[in-house]
Amino acid sequence: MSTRDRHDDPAVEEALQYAEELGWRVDVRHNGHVWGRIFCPLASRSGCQMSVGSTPKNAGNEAKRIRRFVDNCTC
Amino acid sequence: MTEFSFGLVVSGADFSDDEVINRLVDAGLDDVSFAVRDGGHVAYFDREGPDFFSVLREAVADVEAAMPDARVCGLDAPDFMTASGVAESSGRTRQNVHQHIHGKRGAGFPPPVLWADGDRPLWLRSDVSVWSRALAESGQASDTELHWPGVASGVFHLARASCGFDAGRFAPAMTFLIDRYMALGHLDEDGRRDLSRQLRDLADKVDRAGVGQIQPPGLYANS
Repeated sequence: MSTRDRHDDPAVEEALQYAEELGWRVDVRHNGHVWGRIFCPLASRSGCQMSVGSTPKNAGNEAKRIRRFVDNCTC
Repeated sequence: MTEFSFGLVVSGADFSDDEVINRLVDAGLDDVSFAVRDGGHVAYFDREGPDFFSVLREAVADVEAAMPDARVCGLDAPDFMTASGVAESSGRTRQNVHQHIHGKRGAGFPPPVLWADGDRPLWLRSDVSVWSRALAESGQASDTELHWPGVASGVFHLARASCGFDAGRFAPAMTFLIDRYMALGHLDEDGRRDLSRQLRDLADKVDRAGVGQIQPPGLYANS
């Protein structure tokens, strides 16, 4: 179990854990609207990354976008 | 209203920079995920609207208004499907889908929204869903030629979802699902026996090898 901060929204947190299970890194930033970022297992400059909002308008959709992005990564 | 999922590829903006994202969210783009993928900077939307291109136009305008120096220069469109994709997702044969496309099984199949490679038509997922629902409601669903890869793939995913990855629990779950599936399908006795046998073989194989070792049968479609 990772020791990082959990996201306030359960659906988003679940999506983040899904990403971690697949080898993604969750970088918690608490930088304004940017809660953090996820990085794909190819941890180089050419790898995929996506922002995770602190208070997204629709958390369910935010979670869906995280999962879809992780699933579509072919790195 | 329909929900559409898509990504806008943006030039002139760096989505790996938190400050850029903070400015965009402050400008009202709080329903967007910002990503870097294959060197492209992509803003991912899930938005509702009357049709895809209205939603797309509005999203492009929102992004460009929020970033005066940036331009939308590309599209990530996971909602576009090929004819094969339509066949796979609806459990039809490719031939059946082609007959629908060319009106040989009645009118109502939606027109493509894009041609790729000059001759490869693509459909919008939501258009296909509307067509599929209408067909089911009009009682013509039985024109779906249930075929082994489509049915087996559906049962496989259902069973896997319903019983997790525990060895030994797959075959009973599969047997239950086969019976339910068979009750819904309009199969004759031969088809019923044939499908039943193949699905039970698959369930046995899964219980012996573990579900992670077996490919969903849909992948063998048309082989």
